[in-house]
Amino acid sequence: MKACRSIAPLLEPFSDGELGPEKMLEVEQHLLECRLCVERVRFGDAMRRSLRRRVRETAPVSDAFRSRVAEALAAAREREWERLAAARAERRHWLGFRTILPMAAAAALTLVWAASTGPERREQRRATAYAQVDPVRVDDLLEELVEHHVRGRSEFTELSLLPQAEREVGVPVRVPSLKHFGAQWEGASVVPVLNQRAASLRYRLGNHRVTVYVYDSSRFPIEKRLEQRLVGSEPVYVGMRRGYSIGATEHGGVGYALATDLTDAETAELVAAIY
Amino acid sequence: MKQRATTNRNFEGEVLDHLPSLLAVATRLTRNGPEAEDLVQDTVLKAIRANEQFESGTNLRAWLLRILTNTFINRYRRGGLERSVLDGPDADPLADGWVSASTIESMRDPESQALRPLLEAEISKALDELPAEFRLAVVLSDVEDLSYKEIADVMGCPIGTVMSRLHRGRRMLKARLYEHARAFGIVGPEENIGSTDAVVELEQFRAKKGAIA
Repeated sequence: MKACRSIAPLLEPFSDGELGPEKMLEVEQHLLECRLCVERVRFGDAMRRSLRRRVRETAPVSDAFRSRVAEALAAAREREWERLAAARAERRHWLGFRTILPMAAAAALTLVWAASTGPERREQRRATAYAQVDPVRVDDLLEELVEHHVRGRSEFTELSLLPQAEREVGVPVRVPSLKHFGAQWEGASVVPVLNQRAASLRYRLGNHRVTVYVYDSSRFPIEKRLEQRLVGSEPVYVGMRRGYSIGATEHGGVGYALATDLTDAETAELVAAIY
Repeated sequence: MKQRATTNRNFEGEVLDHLPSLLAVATRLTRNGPEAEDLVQDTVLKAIRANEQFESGTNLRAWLLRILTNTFINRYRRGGLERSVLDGPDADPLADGWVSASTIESMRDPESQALRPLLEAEISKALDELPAEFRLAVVLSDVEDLSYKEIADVMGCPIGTVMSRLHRGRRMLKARLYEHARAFGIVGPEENIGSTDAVVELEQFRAKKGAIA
């Protein structure tokens, strides 16, 4: 039997579940033969149970405290909204000076394209594509897109990997060039959204982040909860979620949605320029 | 995929689910009810503001407890947790072989059930008297069930330091409990029960040790 002296330092990590398999066996073997160490382990465990009970009993969360925390959270949310609103107002000013010319150029291009295809036909096509979809969970879908915009990361930056993404997404995925707005493409990933998959293309525009989602538009009826707007004669859909601006459009069965921290007017301009 | 499919509100809900743990740890850290509630409220607000820094798939409770600990240090202990280490004798009565198995058993399972609350109250009191860094390590491990690695993240120290703080904290609690059990007659004086257990009175033990040395 190994001496207690060599086993004693292992007893606490043993009870804490922090020993590797070999040491664990060594301790277990010793415990089969040593009543003193068995009692040490049992005493340690009993002390842990008593501590847990006492510590939890002596600090119950009262309803009053729970309400107080809830109120503090609500007040913090309020302040955050005010801060975002102020930041948006500031950005609107900034974008006006920095990008007004490229924006105008993009709008002009869109106008030419729109005139050549005719908005009515596109509207019909869009209606057919979206008709198959249950719109009930659109809000969840928008939340997920924003969530990914906030937290997601690019998984690859090689354009050669895009065809692989296309197979998962089920529609052609190309990287729209937003260079004339000064936006740099940073990378892409495929993200699961409500059991579907969308390609997520991430850009940086100055200090702002822009995520463009490309998806099968028949499966993502995003426009159901957004407001229709014309940029030139290009109909786009825009709205806000959690302080982020969302824009969407559709071309030939391929949906494009943008999540940005720009204003909704700026996002609308970007969406309209996607095609 | 690291992105979370929850909304801000869901995240708030998840954070609020951990209020009991946060308040239990805060109460032990501050040893003051109203201060503990303030500390928890600050922690929750900070966590919601910093929710983007939380990495999905990791332990939310451990992450919240790290915020709580840092907030506690910044707000109440600008110089860090208490470093005083009550440098008493390094002997551990229960580990060094001068307390018998049956004595340990009577502390764990006193013959009279009426004595149990007495012992538990003593543990609680002894916990509050530990230096904060030992107290926190013991609470995070024994009450909150965090792993050594998670405790190291919460306390911002290496795992070896966590093990040492835990061991020393628990040793102090056990020694205190042993003294208390002796004082209340829950355990009697030790008899020499033979060489296997090598149990003798502390004084005898020391005398023997001195003679050998």
